[in-house]
Amino acid sequence: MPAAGQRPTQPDTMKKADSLARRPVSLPAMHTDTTRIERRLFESRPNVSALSVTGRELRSAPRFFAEADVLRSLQLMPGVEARNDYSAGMNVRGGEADQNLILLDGYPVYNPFHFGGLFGTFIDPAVGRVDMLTGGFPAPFGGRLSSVLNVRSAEDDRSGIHGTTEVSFIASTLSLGGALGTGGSWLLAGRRTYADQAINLVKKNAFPYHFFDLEGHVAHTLPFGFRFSATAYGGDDLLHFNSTSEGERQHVLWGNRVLGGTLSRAFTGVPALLGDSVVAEQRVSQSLFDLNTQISGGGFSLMSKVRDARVGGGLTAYGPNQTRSIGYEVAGQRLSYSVNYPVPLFPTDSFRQRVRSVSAYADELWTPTPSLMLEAGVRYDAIAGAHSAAIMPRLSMKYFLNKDLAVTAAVGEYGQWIRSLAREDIPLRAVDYWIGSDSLTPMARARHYIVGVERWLTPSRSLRVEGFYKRYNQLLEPNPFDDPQRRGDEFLPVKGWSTGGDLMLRQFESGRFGGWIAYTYTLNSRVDSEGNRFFPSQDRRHDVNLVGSWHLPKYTLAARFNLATGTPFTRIVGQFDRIRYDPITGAFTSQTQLPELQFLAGPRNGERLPLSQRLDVSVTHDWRPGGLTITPYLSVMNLYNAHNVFGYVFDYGDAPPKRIALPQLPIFPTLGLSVSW
Amino acid sequence: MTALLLGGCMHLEDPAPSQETRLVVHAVLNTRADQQYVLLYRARTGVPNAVEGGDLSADEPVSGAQVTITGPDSTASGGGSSVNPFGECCEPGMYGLFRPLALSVTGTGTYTLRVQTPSGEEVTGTTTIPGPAIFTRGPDRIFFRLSDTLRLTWPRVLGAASYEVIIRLPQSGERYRTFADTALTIAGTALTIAGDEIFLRDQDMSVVVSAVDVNYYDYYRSQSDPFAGAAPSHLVGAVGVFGSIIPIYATQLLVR
Repeated sequence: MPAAGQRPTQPDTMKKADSLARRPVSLPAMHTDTTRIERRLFESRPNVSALSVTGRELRSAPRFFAEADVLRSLQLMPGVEARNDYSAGMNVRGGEADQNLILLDGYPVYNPFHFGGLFGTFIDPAVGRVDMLTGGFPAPFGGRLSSVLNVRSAEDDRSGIHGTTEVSFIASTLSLGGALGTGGSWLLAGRRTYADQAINLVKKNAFPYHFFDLEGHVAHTLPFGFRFSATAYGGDDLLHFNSTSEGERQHVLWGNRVLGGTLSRAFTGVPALLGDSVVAEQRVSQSLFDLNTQISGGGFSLMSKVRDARVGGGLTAYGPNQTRSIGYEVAGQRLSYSVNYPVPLFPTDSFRQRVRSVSAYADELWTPTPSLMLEAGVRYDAIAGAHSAAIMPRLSMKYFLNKDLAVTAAVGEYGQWIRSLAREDIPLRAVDYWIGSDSLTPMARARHYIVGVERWLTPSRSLRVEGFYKRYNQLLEPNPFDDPQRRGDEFLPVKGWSTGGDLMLRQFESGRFGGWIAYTYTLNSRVDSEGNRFFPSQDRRHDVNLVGSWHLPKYTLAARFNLATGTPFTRIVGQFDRIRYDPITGAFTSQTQLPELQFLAGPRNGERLPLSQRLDVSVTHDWRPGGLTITPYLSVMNLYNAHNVFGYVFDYGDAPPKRIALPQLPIFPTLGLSVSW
Repeated sequence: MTALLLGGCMHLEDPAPSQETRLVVHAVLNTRADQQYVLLYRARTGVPNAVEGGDLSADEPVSGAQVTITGPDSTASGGGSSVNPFGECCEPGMYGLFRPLALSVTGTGTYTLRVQTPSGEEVTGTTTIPGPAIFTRGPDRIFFRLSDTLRLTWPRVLGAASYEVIIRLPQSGERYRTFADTALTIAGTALTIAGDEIFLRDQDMSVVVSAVDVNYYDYYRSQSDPFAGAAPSHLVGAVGVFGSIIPIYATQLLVR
């Protein structure tokens, strides 16, 4: 029988084929018309604020610095904002950057960035699909206030060994994969930058930095109907250099490790009360993040570690009109952060923590009528040691006005008990330094309200418009002046809200053209611990992205244009010298080892950066000798070299004082080559 | 990334409008000092300086102000005189109050600072001196930097927010300064944040531990950055500090 979505163009040929015994036969052409996963989700779930993007679609956007980057591509989606060109991080619907749960095949990754946030850690050919929930996510997801991003590894179950290798200006990537038994697959992928090696040929140790990623993924069907999948990831950034004057070793190392496995089994013939089948799933994972910085031979040392171990699982019962699921998760994190000397921009505290959480959820998707879909759930999160526990209800619905048009709505409570010490006001966010809730820092809470309309204009074109309102009742922000001798002042309470709307008009790749228009409007307000209202640093009002790729017979052209209004910043209104006191001489002294320049800040985030715009383009050529596909490409970032402003530095050393604009990325052309088989 | 930022610098340098001037006060009461100083400057806000900066800062010194410190027994001391660290007249922006004639800072108690500038601005602040505390001088000792570790402990002082440890050369000033609770351990081979050796071979180095009040601690422990602003100040009408410090321990290391 043809699979769903496939239809023969001729009458059934099965009998004819049987009668021809072992002789070769030419079957009539089949027109395959598999329903898109986005359409299936549209028809089967409320799917509020959900985005699902394939690796192929993500790769169709022009590359960033020669690297196709999942996290960069997601910044082009509605509701997802990038603070600047230097950050692969994101602010989702006005939320802070640490409010995003980032998962690799369902296992958490704590700092999925390289090179101070410039690149993401996910290896492009190893990405099969990305599912993102920008709000209103259902009960199985918790622990973050704003979004859930799940990067799914590619599963290539073709027989033989298939792969892709890429050579770019920045890095080389190799990905290999294929079938593993029947109904299984394997994948191995790696990437390493080599600018250090290239520059080393000209001048030794001129650029002593590189990063690498390694990822493996297997999925396999076991006896008795069990299915097992496992993912392993490791990636590091390494910067080693010698001080030219003193000869001391200096290094900055950071990296992630993820190891997780999932065992699942489908059961049929279950009691009618449960429906027609039940799927049981059990997960176990460990995620590590380790940052080790030693500067000046240890004169400055900064370390941050996360050790996350968790087990979780669930039972999902499928019925004709109902899908019910229950699940649990038990997680423990060991978190530590230490710095041996206070320096500007970095948290000055040192601590060690153990955080243990127990979560349980129940969720039911119910289709009472063909036009109405309801998903109701409740999640319970309890944090040991923090004396924090919360019951968080979630509700979403979809009502079909016709088969291609639906209105959606969602409301839900969300909690977060792991948060970053990195300050949102600092536009460069190299890594997050994670700290957990305890008796002194409560769980942060938020409530989402979302309404929307989704319409399929054609089988390959959809439009979605959503409005949202998020209320933060117990938000916390890092205290820039916390006292390292006092526990509990690392964060200051903040409350506020974010509201806005986003739109996505999406043309799925079906012919020559694929792409989307994404527009996001957000309006954010926060009230700090002293009662002062301010716009948070991520308060970008308008952000529009136009992304398209055109497939010509031999070439593929791709372009991305972004236009965004400026984010707020705090103007520096003056500066002065802090003068140290010497208790031995009983006098003030200027002979100190420390930087003593003090900045006088104006109203918090009282001004805004100017509008920014950027056009990236790329052209690729497909050449298919034998079984290979060879694809050279040219990519140009910021094609017309728009002078976008990253931030301002103020110098009050002269009269009149100066305002110096720091630039975003200039024009940057790159060449590369991809070979796949 | 820094290289990208700096390397791509554009000609986006513009004059910035001048901002309202702000007074900056540095005043620390020291129970072991013969004289107390108050420094009064104006922050650099783009307004052209009327006076060249003093020795300690490029900020504009403010002269002719009335500086008064009132002790716990309500006796006020002060005046408009400006002196340099040697008691000689007149260092712009520096106001000295001599013991016992002008101010007797003897120990615990709350002192109030009041500054009035010629243009009518007023600055006030209070500090409560920690204590009482006994000053102890440890014996001079030989310190082998490659093998020894400096281990210091000291008793708590009532009212102290923290303790500042300074390691310095007698002539050329401090090498290392940090805050600690009631103990500190530093390896002889430790380096400063600039990568310099803290303990210099063949030098006599002094180590001083002082109890400090909350104003001093809050102001000097924090690092300012362009996103957070200046270190916390407990002054009204100015930024800076009016704090207090009590040296409680000192020793001399003969570094080998």
